[in-house]
Amino acid sequence: MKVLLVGSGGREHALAKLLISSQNTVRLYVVADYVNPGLKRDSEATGGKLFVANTNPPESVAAVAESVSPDLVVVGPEEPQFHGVVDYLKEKGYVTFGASLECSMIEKSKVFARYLMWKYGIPGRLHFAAFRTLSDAEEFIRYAGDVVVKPARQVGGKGVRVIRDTKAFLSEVKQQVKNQSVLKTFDDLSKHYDSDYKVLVEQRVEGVEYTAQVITDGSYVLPLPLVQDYPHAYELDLGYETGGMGSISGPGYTLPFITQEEYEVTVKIVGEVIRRLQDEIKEKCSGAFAGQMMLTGLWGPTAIEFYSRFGDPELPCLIPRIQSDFLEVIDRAARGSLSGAKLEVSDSRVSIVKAVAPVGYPAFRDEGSGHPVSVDEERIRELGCHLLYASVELRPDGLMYTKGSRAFEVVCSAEDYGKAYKASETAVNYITSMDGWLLYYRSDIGSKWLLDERTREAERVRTVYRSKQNRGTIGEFFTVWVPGEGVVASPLLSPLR
Amino acid sequence: MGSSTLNQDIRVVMMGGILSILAFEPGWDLLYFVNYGLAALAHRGGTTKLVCWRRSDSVTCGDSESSVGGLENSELVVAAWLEDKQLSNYTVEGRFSITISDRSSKHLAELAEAVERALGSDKPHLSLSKQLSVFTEEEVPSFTTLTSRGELVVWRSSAGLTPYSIGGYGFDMVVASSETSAIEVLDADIRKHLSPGEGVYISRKQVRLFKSGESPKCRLCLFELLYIARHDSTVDGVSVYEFRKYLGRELGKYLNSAVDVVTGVPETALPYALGLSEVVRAPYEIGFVGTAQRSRSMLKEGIREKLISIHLKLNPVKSVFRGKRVAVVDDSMVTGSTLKTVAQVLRYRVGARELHLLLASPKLVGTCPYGVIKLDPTSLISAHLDSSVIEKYLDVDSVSWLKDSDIEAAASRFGMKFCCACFGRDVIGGRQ
Repeated sequence: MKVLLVGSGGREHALAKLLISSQNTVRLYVVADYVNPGLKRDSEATGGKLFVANTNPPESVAAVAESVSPDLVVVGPEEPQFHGVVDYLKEKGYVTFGASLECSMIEKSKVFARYLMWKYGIPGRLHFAAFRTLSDAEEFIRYAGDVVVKPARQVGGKGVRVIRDTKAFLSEVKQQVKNQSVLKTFDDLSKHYDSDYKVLVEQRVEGVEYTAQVITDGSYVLPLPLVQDYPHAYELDLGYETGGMGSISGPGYTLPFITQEEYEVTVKIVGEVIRRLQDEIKEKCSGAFAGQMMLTGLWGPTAIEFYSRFGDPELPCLIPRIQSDFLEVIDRAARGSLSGAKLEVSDSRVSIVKAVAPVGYPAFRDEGSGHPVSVDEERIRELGCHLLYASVELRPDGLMYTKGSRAFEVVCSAEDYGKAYKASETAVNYITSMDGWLLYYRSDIGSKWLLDERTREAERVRTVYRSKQNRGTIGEFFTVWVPGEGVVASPLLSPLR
Repeated sequence: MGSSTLNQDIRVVMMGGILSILAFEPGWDLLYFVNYGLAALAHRGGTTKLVCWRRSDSVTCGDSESSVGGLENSELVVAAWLEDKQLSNYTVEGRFSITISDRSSKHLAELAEAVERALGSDKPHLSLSKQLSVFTEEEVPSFTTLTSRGELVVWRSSAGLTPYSIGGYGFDMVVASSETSAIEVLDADIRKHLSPGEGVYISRKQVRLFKSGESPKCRLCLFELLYIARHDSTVDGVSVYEFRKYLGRELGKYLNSAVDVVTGVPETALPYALGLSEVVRAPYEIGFVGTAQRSRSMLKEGIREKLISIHLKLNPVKSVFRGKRVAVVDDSMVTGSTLKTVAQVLRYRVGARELHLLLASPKLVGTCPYGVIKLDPTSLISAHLDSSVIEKYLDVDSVSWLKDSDIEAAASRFGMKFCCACFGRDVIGGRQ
């Protein structure tokens, strides 16, 4: 079977590993924006090839597809979806896994995703306000309070400002920062003409974040095990928001700090969003979707954002845990015959992913780019771990160079977190810089300490949402009493109120 | 060594009221954070606020007045409560660092040198770990260093006598403080209580924890939980309030007379009194109302200043005590001057029938050899007078202290190891 994989990074390398481990004989072709050494090697080992091309323009991807004539195309990242790559390939007759332009709206437009949840009354929704003009946003943000300011369009997970504003004596300075972030978001989004809304202001919630990924053919939704990813750049959950410095998964389908019931509610929310998305756009959506969730005191499982693709470092975390023929599942989803499919997952094994990035990531990427690095993959394999190549490129001199983002991911698994943690902490040491430039990773990911922290936090919010459940006020958040008018649910008004 | 000291300033702040903040994202005016953060540490003593901040490769230090406006566009600041009456303001361009420690020590200059050496290396966190590993003596204090290159080093002494905690504000800031109160008041979350010998290297490009070897003799100063920290703080994972209430309950076994009311000397003693009230089944009453701002009498140096501070916080609620048998609780007795005042007020001005004094700590018998707190050995009342003499001097019906065994039980219950040098015991608690 000939498979063409579209995309360049760690998620695509994880996809490649899962696809080529199939019972079927696979010849893997890849179209990537740069020479990812892992994708190049793994595709060539199957008799396939890596093509370098811009993966966003549909014509550029289709040209590769024409030369390969694949039986299946798998589109990894969101940007090609936003550019209509999936639609174009399907029109040309290729069996393609991935969200179409319309279906990917659930990720691309954060306003649309929120609107959908409110329109259909899907649980786990947050109050929000969206703005097309700067003056409206500026006016609103003056009274917005405790909020998150987001770009209304997905821009590589960047630009989200969480501004906890619960202490009046610090409000003035936080107000300044909110104003700046509104301005900056407008500025950043001005180059994306495909989004009429520019700024989303959203109710801030706190709790424990986790990701629920699913695979669907448009009728049947197959959930994958939950994964928790760690967005802070630095240890102790400090510093910048990143694409994710690591993740954990297992045992079973849930996480040590998420109950079975919470898992089931979560899957229901994601399934309902996909169903309503299809109702709304009047089109079937197949591919991978994910809910970036948070267990909050407001709702219990709460939707923060949606993805129209697998997460990274979420999918990598599942490599050692998925036992089914993943290619078969993906292929059935793309062909609309997923009904009844089951995903065998190792219940007893847990896994930990750690990303290794050059110092400079994420705020000073230029400084972190262009540094030669080497890996001792054999030693990493001996530890029972997988190595994924992400933001690292093979140059004609035969050396690998960092590209400024997370360069590698190590994926380690064991029967418990203690053992997987030990393996992952050893494995990261086999990735070294050749010019002395520092690389970093988060040592706390997968540690007992951090698991205990998450457990405590989950218990705290669980007490709150269960109490709200008992009082029949789940999801309700009364913040303002306007004398003469009554209690207003939130200064952030949903468009449907 | 000589030349680089020109590029350094070293300050000492007793009791460790130190706060530092690094903002990852631009646009924060850290002045507000410094002022409110220091307010949340004011109970630890000190009279003058030192603020040092970095802005485009220069470092400015001065009193809090000078920082108004100056902190705009600064991403890195360290602030502390100093005993100095006046501070001179200065700005240094180019390579410079300021180190603030929480105790005076002969090792300070050496320590600052070691930090400076480590920061010049390729892997500062590894180098810090190595350079600091030799400083395991009890006399070596915790410190915070800010550099002109936008770095912050926070290190908790290997001896572990004073606490140090790290907090985070969303994706925007890291806040390090000698007490968790400042982290929480600043709307940030507590992320870690540093363990003895543990430190963090912080810059916009890296945050790295490092460990420099824990002294086998590491332990927390018991006074931290007894008196220094706020009730709302968490010290090494222990709730200060719960610890105090627990000791208050333990005091119950030493009260041999029936009482009508229990009260505490403001403000530290309130949870102790609540604990005692629970076990002796006498109501806890608010006995005193303070005037002007809260102050810590024990931390005042001059006798007159100390008395002013005591008298200001002790206006009695007369109806609570008149004709009653009263249990008065305090955390400790140093010179006895506070409790003498309490006894006089309650006896003569209010007319209490009986006064039973209970101290939630053992007898203080010696000075602090590590300079964590100032105790003048010549004026420690329980080191020089018998209980019966103290009773007479204070004019109370009884006076009781907790015993070492009670602190041992508390240490085991809360999983702590305490320095009790001033109570006449080197260490209490921990696996020995």
